[in-house]
Amino acid sequence: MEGWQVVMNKVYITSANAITSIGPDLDALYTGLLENKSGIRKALRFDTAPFVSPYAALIDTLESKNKQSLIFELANRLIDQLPPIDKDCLLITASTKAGIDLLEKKNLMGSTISSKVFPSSLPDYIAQKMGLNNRGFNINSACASSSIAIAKGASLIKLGHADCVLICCMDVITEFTFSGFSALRAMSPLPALPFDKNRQGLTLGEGAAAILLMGEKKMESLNIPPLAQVCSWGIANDAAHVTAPAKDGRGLKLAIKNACTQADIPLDKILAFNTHGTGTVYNDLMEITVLNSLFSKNTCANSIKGAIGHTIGAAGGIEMALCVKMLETSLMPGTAGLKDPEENADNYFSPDPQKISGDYILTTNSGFGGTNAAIILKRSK
Amino acid sequence: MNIVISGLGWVYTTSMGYAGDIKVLPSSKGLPPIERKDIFKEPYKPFGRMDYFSKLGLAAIVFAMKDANLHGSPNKNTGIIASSSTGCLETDMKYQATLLPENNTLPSPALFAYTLPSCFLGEASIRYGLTGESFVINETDTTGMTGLGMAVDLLAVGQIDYMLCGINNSQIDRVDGVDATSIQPGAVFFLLEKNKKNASGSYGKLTRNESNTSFYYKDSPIKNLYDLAQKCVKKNI
Repeated sequence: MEGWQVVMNKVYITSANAITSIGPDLDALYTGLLENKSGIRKALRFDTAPFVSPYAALIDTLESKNKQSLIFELANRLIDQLPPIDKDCLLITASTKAGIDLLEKKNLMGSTISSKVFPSSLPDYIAQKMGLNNRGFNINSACASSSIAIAKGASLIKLGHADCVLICCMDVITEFTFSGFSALRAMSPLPALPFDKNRQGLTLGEGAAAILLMGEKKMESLNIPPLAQVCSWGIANDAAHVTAPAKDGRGLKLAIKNACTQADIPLDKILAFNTHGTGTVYNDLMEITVLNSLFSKNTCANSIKGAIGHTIGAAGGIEMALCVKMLETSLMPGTAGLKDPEENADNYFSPDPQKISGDYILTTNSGFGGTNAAIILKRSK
Repeated sequence: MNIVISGLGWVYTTSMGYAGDIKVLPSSKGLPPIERKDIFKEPYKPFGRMDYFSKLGLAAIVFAMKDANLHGSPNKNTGIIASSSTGCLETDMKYQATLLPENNTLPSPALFAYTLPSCFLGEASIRYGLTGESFVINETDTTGMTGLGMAVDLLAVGQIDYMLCGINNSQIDRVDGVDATSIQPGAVFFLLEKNKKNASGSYGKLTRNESNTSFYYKDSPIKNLYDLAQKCVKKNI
């Protein structure tokens, strides 16, 4: 009954999908980014006049049906893209506010609220819709929610607790979220310019991603080829401030170092880095500090949030799906909107696509509460 | 290898504190107000800005740290996993109210920061300088067992020295379609560690079956973290 034996299985991504403001699938996102497309427009979903910015990266055709939350409509679209999946596959979702727009449709004075506003209603909905044998659970850790959900799914496979885990990541833009980032003065009045000297903040975006993880045996038994290996991951807290990153990037550094240590990958083998890159003054400065302290100028880096906005809880999932494409093609899309790179950033970032060398790509996310997550993917031979 | 429960703290509708300092609360009053002096002797400026959900979770964490004698000397390689069905819904509703035109108010940035249910984990990490991983698990049935399994895994593979693992649920009086009795309002947190050299003062060992589907405390199966807390304290709390 002790049951503490630690097994170490390899973990692979066998399917990766994304829905963003740039297009309905991952190919549309990847080719759109290479063609410098942007999904950022003036938002028409609600009145933006009271807020700092009118801009957001919304999915054009996403509309609420029968007073349902937009999140369930987005979930329907994501489910439609999925390959056949075992009913025993464990479901993990990642979303910060899930169906929070249900609060917006109610007069709060004296009325009751639908239980679908709870974040756990998202995995419940998806599991039921897919007929899975488990109800799944949602991981919530601000803007690192997706990365942590993927890390936890990978960990369950690595340790032999699961052989197949589906991670569905999504957040939608509602007046609730939009007004909050505006009130925090984190929002740029113009479309976000990550890592540019003239950046003024983030632009919010919405989107979804599905990452299907499998252990080696499961993958081989289904004769499914891997897209990439999830080598290792690290998660760490800044323990500094609730809404601002630690200036020295201590939490992000620790997360990256832990990820490298876990798989015994030297830092100098990491030659491609998909950053969080929100476009806020302090986040980007923190990441530039981390880049310069850990990586040589041979490492190329990018941020896609100048094109698809900051998709909050979905960001890590969308970026993970994109990393799969980057490894497959050895080509990293440029940093959208970048014109005049911030000091000490120009050696890493480019507005143009960059060739990726080496076998690994690092992707990171950081968020409120001081949370940081780093995941290293390896090219599938 | 052993996983040992070294600390336990809680805030329920009936009582709050830890084994060495239990405050019994008046019955039928719901969750208690939480004042700074309930958890910190010394002034702690950030406490006043926190929402109730954060105070609730932080209080249970602080009680668990005190119970484990780590309040004054925390180990920074400590992570936190919290399970929650409700999240910070009460705070969400208060923030949403600031958006209603008839209230003639501006959206509150201070309130918005706490509409992320994981922010109280950041508060606890800041208070103790904890750099381990921290996240919230949202499940319809908050047993806390998914989080317990993950916490034990982190300790088992040696990634972390201590794990705080628990549940934090706010009161839900105005939500349709939920059996209010199925979600216990309140917070409970455990401080877990591996291979404690001096087992005296701890509550004892946790074990699990080989398929990782069940946990046991002193050979007795654990249904949920509330059940585990009762077994540890050996009386109704």
